[in-house]
Formats: sequence, C-alpha cells, structure tokens
Amino acid sequence: MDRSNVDAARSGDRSAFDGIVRTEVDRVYRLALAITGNETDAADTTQEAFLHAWRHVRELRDPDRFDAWLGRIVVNQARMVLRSRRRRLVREIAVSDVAADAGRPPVPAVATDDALALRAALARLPADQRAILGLRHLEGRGIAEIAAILAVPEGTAKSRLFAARRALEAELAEEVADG
Amino acid sequence: MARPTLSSSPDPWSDARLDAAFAALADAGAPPGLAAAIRDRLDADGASGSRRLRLPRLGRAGTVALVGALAVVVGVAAWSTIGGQLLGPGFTVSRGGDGSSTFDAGEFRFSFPAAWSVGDARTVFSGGSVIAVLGTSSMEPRCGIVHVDINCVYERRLDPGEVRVIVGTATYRGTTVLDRPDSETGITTRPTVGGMPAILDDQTATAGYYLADLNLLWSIGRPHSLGSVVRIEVLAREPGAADARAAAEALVASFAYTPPPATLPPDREDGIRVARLAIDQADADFRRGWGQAAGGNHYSCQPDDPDVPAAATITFSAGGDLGGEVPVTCSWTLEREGDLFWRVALRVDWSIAGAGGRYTETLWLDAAGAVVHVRQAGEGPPMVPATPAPTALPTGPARSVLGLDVITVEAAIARRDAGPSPEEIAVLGWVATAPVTLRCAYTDRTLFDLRPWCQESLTHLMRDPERLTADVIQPAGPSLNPLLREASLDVGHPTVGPVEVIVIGHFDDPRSGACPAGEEAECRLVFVAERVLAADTAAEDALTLPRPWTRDGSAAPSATSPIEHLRYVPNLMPLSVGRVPASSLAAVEPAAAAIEADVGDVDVWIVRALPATEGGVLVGPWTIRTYVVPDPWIAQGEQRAYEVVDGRLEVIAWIID
Repeated sequence: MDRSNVDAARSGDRSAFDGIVRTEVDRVYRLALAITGNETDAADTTQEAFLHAWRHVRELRDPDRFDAWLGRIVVNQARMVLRSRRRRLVREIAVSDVAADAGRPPVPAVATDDALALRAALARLPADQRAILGLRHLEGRGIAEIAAILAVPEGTAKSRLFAARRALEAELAEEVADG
Repeated sequence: MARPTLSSSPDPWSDARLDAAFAALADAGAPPGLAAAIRDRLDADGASGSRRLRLPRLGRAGTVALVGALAVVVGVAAWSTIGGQLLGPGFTVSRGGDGSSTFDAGEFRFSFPAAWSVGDARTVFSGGSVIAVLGTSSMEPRCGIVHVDINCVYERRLDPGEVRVIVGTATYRGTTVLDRPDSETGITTRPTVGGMPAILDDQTATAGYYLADLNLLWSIGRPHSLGSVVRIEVLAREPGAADARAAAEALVASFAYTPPPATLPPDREDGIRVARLAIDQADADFRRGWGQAAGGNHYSCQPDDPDVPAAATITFSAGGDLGGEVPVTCSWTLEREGDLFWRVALRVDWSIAGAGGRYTETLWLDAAGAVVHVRQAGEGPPMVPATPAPTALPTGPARSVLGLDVITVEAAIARRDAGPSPEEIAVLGWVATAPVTLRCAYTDRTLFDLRPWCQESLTHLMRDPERLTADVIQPAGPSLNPLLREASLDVGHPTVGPVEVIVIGHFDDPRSGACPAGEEAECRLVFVAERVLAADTAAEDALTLPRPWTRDGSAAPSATSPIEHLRYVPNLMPLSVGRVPASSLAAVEPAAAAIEADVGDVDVWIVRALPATEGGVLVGPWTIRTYVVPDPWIAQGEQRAYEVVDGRLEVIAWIID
C-alpha cells in the first residue's frame, strides 16, 4: 500500500483514492468473494466497501493501519450484504435471446479440484468463519491483524480461527466423501 | 447445484495443500469494469451531494474551543473543493491574498472578510432555502459545526460586536423583485446588485429580539426567475455596527452572478422574435398539458405581430375546455423592462350576451428569450352551456386500450360496489380538479396511505364534463376520486379541467393492507391510477414510454433506462414509471422498504406493468406487477431487479448466455 496515496486520500484527494482502488480492488474482491460466496455479492461488497472507505477515510487516525482498516470495512460490508440477501428469495429468469451484451462477471478461475472442493466447503460455513479463513489464508494476515480487523482480542481471534479451520476440514472431508 | 467432482486424493488436508487450494482461489480477480464502476459511484456520491459529513455533532456539553470549530469549518470548505469538484457543502470558500475570502455557490459568488467563519446551513423550506451562515462569531457547538442548524441560529441573540450574515433564497408569491411593495416596517431602497434589480430593506428598527443595532436585508433578483431572490441578511450589534455596515456593503458590492445577466439587444425586432417563440412554446406546452393536440387554442389565437388585435374563435381558455366555440379578440404588446427583460402582455377579450371580459397574461423574457416570470389575471370566458352528457359510451365498435376494454365511470363504480377486484380496468371520463386550496390537517407523508390526501380529494374522474369551481367542488354526476399520485400522465396534471381521458387503474390495491389500521377496507375502494391517456389516444400510442412520476412533482429523467433494464423480464407492458428516493419507499411501496438497507438512500425506479403476450397485447384479466430498480443497478448493468410478489420483496435475476 502506497502510504502517500493514503495520506493524500485522507486530505480529500480523489485521484489518490482512485489509485488505492486500482491497487486494492482485486484483493478486496477476493476477500469479499470468500465471505459472500458469490460474484454478485462480492462485487456489491467491494463497491460498498470502497464507497464507505472514501466517505470515512478522513476519520482514519493512523494511516499505517489503512490495510487493516479497509479489511474491517470489507468484512462488515460483506456481513451486511449477506444479511440483506438472506431476507429474500432470488428467482432466476432464463434469458437466452441475447448474447451480445452479456456483461456477467467471469466465474473466478478455479483451476484445481482442491480449489473447487474448497470453494464448495467454504460455502457451507458461516460467514464469520469464511471471513476469518479468508483473512488468514487468502490475505495471509497474522493473528494480531485478524484480531484488529475483527475487533476482538487476539486470543479470541486465535480460537475462532482454530474452530473455523476444524469446521472447514470437516466440510472438506465431506466433499471428498461425496465426490 | 451438483457438487464438484473430485479426483481421489489420499492425502489429508495439510497446511500446504490448503494453502495451495486457497492460492488457486486467490487467482480470482475482480471482474473487468468493477474498478471503473467504483470510481463512477464515488463520482456520483460526491457530485450529488449525498456524501454525508459525519463529523460528530457536539452536545450541549461540547468543549471544542471556538478556534477549533472555526478551523474545522474552514477545513471542510477547503476539502470540499479539491479537484474542482463540489464534494461537500453546496458552496465553496476560497481564501484570497487580500484578507478576503470568496464564497461561491455556483450560481453566485461574493467576497467577505477572511476572518469570518462560514457554516453550511443548507435547509430547504417552502419556496426558498438557507444556504450558509457567515459571521464574526462561530456557532455554538450545539448548533452544529460543519452543518449548522438554522433554527438554532435563529434562536440566538447577537453577542456584543457580533456580525451575522445569513445567505439563502426566497420566492415571492404573486409579485417579483421588480414590483414587490416597500416594507411596511422598514426603509426600502431599490439598488442594482450583481447586475440585477434588488431590494434593500433596512429593518434595524424591528430587530429587537436579536439586540441588533443593524439589520439589512438584500433581496437580489435571480436572472432565471424574477419571482425568486437571493437573500443576504446582515445583523450586527454594537460596538462596530458602522464597520459591519461597511463590510456588508462591500460584500454586496462584490456580489456577482455566474454567468452575469445579459442585457437586451437594442433592436426591438429581437424582442418580437423571442416573444413570438415564447408564445409558440406556451401554446405547445398548453396543448400538451391539456392533452389537446389540435384543440388547445388558447395561445394560438394570438397574432404574429404585437399591437395588432386579431379576431379568433377559441374552444379552450386558461381554465380549460370551454365546451364550445367562443369568439374573442387576441392581442399582445412588447415593452422593455429595464435593460434586462422584455415584458410581453397577452390579452384575450370577449363579449358574450352583452357581457364583456378580459384575460391577461404577462410574460417576462430575458435577452435569450427564456421566460423568467409569468403573471395571469382573469379566468377566461365562461363555459358554453353543456349539451346533455352521454350516459354510456358511444355506440360503435367496442374500444379497447392495451387490450383492456374501455368502460364508463358508471360501470367502474358498479364494479367497485359489487366487491372491488385488483384487475386492471380502463375508464373513460372527464377529469377535473376544483380550484380550491383546502386547509388541511397535518399529514405525515412518510406513512403509507392509499386514500387521497387532503388536496388530492379535489380531483375527480367524472362521467360528465362538469366544470368544478371554488363553489362547486363536488361533481353532480357519477364520479370517482382517482389516486393519481403515482400515475404516469400522458396529459398534463388536471389542475382545473375538465379534460377527457382514459384512466388505467384498479381497485383493491395489493398495498391496501398497509394502510393505517382500520382503514384497509376504505383503501380497497380507492381507484388507484397507473396511467392517464388522452381520450383520443390511438391504441398504438398507448404503447409509448410512460412519463415518469415523482412524489414531489420534481422532474425525473426519461423512463428509458429502467424500462430497458427490465427488458429481459418476459413480456412486460409498462404502464407507469416513477422515481423516488429509497428512503421514501416505506410510504410508496411498503413491501420494498427494506431496499434502502440493501442499497442505501439512492434513487430507485418503480415500474408497474401488466404481463403481456409476446406480441405486446394484453389478454386479461390481469393484475398489476411492481418492479423496483435502484439507479446504481442500472448504471452498473446489474442483471437483477426487485419484484413485489404477494406483498413480499423478491429479487429476480437473469443470466444472459
């Protein structure tokens, strides 16, 4: 993360914030995808997270903590998106007559069977467990950072990560058995 | 959905294997265009002023020092202009090198002492607004720091030596900055400010509450509307009132509009040309407003040249359909109103059975010919006595619109009384509104209610072309009180009438259950309109794009984008399209109120449609369907929309292969 972009964005520089969007959008989207489990919600989460970040970046006290701060926003936005989605049914309408203006986001490139299994297993975990696993394994964050993002003590973060990992392994084992 | 097929793997899920699987997931990048969509959202967020300044409001015990508060205000103002884009308050403040600052609201700007504070006090009230509060003293923290509560400011008396300047706008009722009477309680002078006529009221003698020793109010005409003004009110308390007056006069002397008002060309022929265009435009607007492509001849009786009266026959006056032909004499004059405006006075004179009358309408035009004010006097000729009204539709081939048989008002009433049904019907009748302003009890319009609000109860869909007046507000013949609040009008709103129309709508609206407790049955009897067509609308014209409605009467963009967005929903025939903020959905479509939590307080489109066959023809009976599309979903090409189904909100999504 370019610290100068963060500093400039804090003083209201939109072009600097655009630079942050450019460099961080993939990372934010991946974390959002891991938590929400589908591309549309991940894209929604990503947009809302950056919008929220821009509105509040002036309130960020420690620019060095921007990364963790943004991570917290993503996790919270993803939870909100999931909460709102739970409320209603989604009906799909088959549309077959137009191909030219298809704008659907591509399905993430999942190259291996293990990745497919992982994705399926993640989808069956609670959102909070998906979030902590995403922070640890997708983002490569340490316990202290995860604790800061989730606003919990480090001990709690550690135990939640352990529980999430056990739950994931159980789901993965079921995937293999099913397969 | 089938689970993925796995190859057999004897290894347990080691850290390395898990990390590798996560790494494969991490190959997923954001979809193309997402970063651009985010930038668009950020642009829209800033440009629309929807950015919320969430600096904390301090309570009464706030201890932020005066200087600190000033620093915050100036900081926000400076921040708001970064990149040349208005991100925060509806104005910008920039500091000059000469001890002054410039206040720029886009439409106008002025200079003021740099030592003064500036508070964003944007508040809109009926016909006007407050924009900002400037002065030598900062606001009390309890009045807000970034956004100042103007009512809190109004409560505060002046401190010794304080100067307070309140900047805003106001609209005059029935008068203009050119002819507003002098103040009865102060001393009125009429200077020119920013090139525009203005009024200065010295109200010092009446400013007792504020302990002010100086109270000056400048009302400066706005170039685009003579009926509205920019208000700059200056209050000051000794010591230093003389200096405050000098500072106020310097502020007003620096006042300028962007762009400055243009002066009239010297040639009167230019005036005649723009006047003729303005009359033609009024004619076109009048015809459209009354749904009279051919017969709306109220303005078209005017001759091509000024000062040359012309005899004509009209069937429409300012008040609406005259019910027959009336011989009149039409004429107009053109004069200069100062250096900035043309004054065009239209006259229609008549004499019926020995009784003469006159209707006048005065248009003020700017140098480019734009109408900046209109004043009407008189109501037009009396109606020609009506011939007995038909009690049924004319005989001949049965009429239908959009596949719906057109029925009479009486038939619609009979259906209602037989037990209301939500099936859509098309009713032919005359719509009119009694020209009365009712004294209405307070209505909380954030609550849902299908029953016509106070003033709405004056609009009737009648069997007969009755003319409603201040004395006759209820039709004598059969009539309905249609709810036109959320109808797409192909004719103008029937401010008077009567206008012959076909109203497509229904009884027993599915939202009736959300009406106030105990009123559900009454709500079910309301005829809720989706579309109002001119009576002579050809069947194929009914298929045109509905004109969007808004709850506050403000203009909405074309309905093309939401209709286009829903094109993948099979066989929909849009009847009405409206646009509201998501925050007001609870009062419009209660089942969709949760959308605000999903998408924030963005504008959303409400599309009400009937299911159609492939060929776009309805084969009834049908009940209305309601779709809600947030603006950002349209902008981002989202392949989904909300649908209200049996009082529940669902998301419909489509995948384009």
